Amino acid sequence: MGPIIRVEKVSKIFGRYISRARVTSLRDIDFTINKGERICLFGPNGAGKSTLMKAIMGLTKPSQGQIYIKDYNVRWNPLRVKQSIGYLPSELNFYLDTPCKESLIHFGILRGLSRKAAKQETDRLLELIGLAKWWDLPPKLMSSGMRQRFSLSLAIIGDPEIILFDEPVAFIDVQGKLKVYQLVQDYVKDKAKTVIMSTHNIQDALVMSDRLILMDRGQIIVDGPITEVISKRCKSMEIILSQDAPSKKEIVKVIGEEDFELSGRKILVRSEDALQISTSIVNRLHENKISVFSFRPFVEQRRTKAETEESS
Amino acid sequence: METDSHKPQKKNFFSRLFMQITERNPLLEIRETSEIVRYEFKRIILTLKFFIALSFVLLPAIIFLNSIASDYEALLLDFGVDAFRAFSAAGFVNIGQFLLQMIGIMLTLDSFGKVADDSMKRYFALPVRKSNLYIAHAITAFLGTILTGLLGIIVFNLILWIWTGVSLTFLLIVKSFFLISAGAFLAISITTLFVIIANFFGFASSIAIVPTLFIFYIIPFLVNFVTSFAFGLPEAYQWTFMYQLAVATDFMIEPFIGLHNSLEMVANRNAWLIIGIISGVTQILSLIIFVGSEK
Repeated sequence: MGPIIRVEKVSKIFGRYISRARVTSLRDIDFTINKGERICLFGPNGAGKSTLMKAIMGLTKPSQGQIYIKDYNVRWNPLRVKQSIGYLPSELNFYLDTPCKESLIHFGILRGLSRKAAKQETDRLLELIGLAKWWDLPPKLMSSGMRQRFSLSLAIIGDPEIILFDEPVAFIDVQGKLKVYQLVQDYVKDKAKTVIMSTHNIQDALVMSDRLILMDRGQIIVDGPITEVISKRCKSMEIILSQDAPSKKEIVKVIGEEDFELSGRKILVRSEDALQISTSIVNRLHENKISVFSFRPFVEQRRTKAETEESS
Repeated sequence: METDSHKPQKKNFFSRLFMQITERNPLLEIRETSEIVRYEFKRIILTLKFFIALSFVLLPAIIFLNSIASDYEALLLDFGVDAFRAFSAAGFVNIGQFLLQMIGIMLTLDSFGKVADDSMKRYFALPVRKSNLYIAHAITAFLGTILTGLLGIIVFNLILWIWTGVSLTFLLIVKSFFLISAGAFLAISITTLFVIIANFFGFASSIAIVPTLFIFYIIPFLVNFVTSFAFGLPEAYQWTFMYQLAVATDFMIEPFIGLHNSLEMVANRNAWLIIGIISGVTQILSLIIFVGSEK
C-alpha cells in the first residue's frame, strides 16, 4: 500500500500578487507519510509548520508543488480530502456560547453522519473526553483543559483517518496536557490513525510521535525516527544570526546564560537537550525581533567554505 | 506512485469546475446548507435573545411614541380615522425600515464579523463547501431579520388596535412587511460586502458598518441639505438609496411626502430594479470574495 500523504515539492510564497514584500513560508517541501505513522513537525515559530498543515488541509494553496491525500489531489478534491482529515487547532476557534453537545452533533452531521448516528457518536465522545456530565455547558464556561478536550472531540467526530494537531497543548497546564495526550494516544492506537502534530516543545513531540520532521524558515532540516533525531542527529544545534545582529551583550541579555557557545553571529548549543534549548533560544530571538539566518543541526565536516565565511 | 490515480493533473478550468460541482449529490448540498442554517439560526436566537427581545419591545415602543406626537393628534383631528390609519402605516414603514436595517446590519456582523470569521475557520476544516457556508450564513441573517420584522409588525398592529381600535388590513400588513424586508435585504447585502472586504484585508469587521451608515443615512441627509439650500437642486437627492426606497414604498406613504400622483410607474419600477440589482450584485461579489479568500 502506498503512502497516505504525499507532499511533492511544495513551496508557498505569500504576497505574490498584491504586495512587494514577499514572504516564502515553505520551500521545496517533499516527504511522504504512511498509514498509522505519528509525525511531529518540529521547529521554532515562523518555521512554516502551520502553513504546511494548512496546505495539507487544503486551506491554503501552495504556490508550487502538489499534495495528495489517499491519492486525491488536495487542490482539486477538497471535499474528499477533508472527509479524511480531523483538525485540532491550538485554540478552540468555535462559537463559545453554544452548548458543546449541540456543536458536536452539528459537526457530526456535517461530516456526513445521520442525525441519529451523530447523536450516538456525540454521547460516546462526551463520555470519552469526560464531559458527559457537562453536555449542556457552553465552552465559554469551561476551563482551558476542558475546552481543549472538547476541541479534540470536534476534530475526531466522524472518525477521520488522519488527524492534524496544530500545537494542541500550547495553552493548557500539565494536568490538562496529560489528559489530552492520554486521550489522543488511546484513540490513535486503537484505530491505527495517522497523526501529524506541530509543536516547538520536544517533550510533546516525544510523547505524541514516532517520527520527527525538523523545520526552519520553510525548509525541512532533518527528517527521521524521533529517538534517532534527538539522540544522534541533533545533539549539537547551530543558530546563525543575520547580518544586522546586535552585540554579544545584547544577545546574552535576550537569550540568557544558558548552555551555549556564542562567537560572532553563531550560537552553538551542545547538549543532550540541544534541540529543545536551541528552539527556545530561536523563539526568544524572534520575540525580540532579532532575525535568525539559519537554524540546523551542527555537523562540522558538512560545512562548506561559503557557509564558514557567511557565519564569520 | 508517480501519477494521481484518481484525477489527471492537466485539466482546464471549466472541466475542474464541473468536476467539483458534480463531485457530490445535489441533495447533500441542500442537507449541508440547511443544517448550517438550522445550527446558526438556533445559535443566533440563543446568543442574541437579549437583542431580539429588546427589539420586540423597542419597535412598538418607538412607534407608540411616534404616534402620540402632537402632529399626529392634529392630523387625527383634521383628517379623521382614515388619515390616521394611512399615516400610522406610513410612519411605521419608515421607522420599521430603519429598525430592521439596524437589526439586519447587526445580524450580518454576527454572521460574517470577526468572531464568526474565526469560528468559520473550524468549518473550513470540515468537508463543507465554502459557497454553502456563505449561502447558509446569508440566509440566517435574512431569516433573523424577517422573523424580527414579522413579530414587530404583529406587535405594532396589536398595540394600534388596543389603543385606537383601528387595525391595519391584512394586505397592508403583508405589503409593509414585504417593503420593510426589501430595505433590510439591501442593507444586509451592502453590509455583508463591506464586512467581507474588511475581513479580507484584516480590518475590524465593525468598521464595515460605517460605509452602510454613510450610504443610507449620512449621504442622503447631506445631499438633501446641500442641494436644497446651497445649490438649489432639490432633485439631486433622487440619487440616494433612501429616496429609491421611498419611491419603491411610495404607495404606503404617498399622501405625506408629496410624491402622490407625481410618480410614474417607470420610476417605481426603476426603484425596484435598483434595489434588486444592487442587492444581487453585492451578494454575488461577497460570495466570490468569500469563496476565493484563503483562511
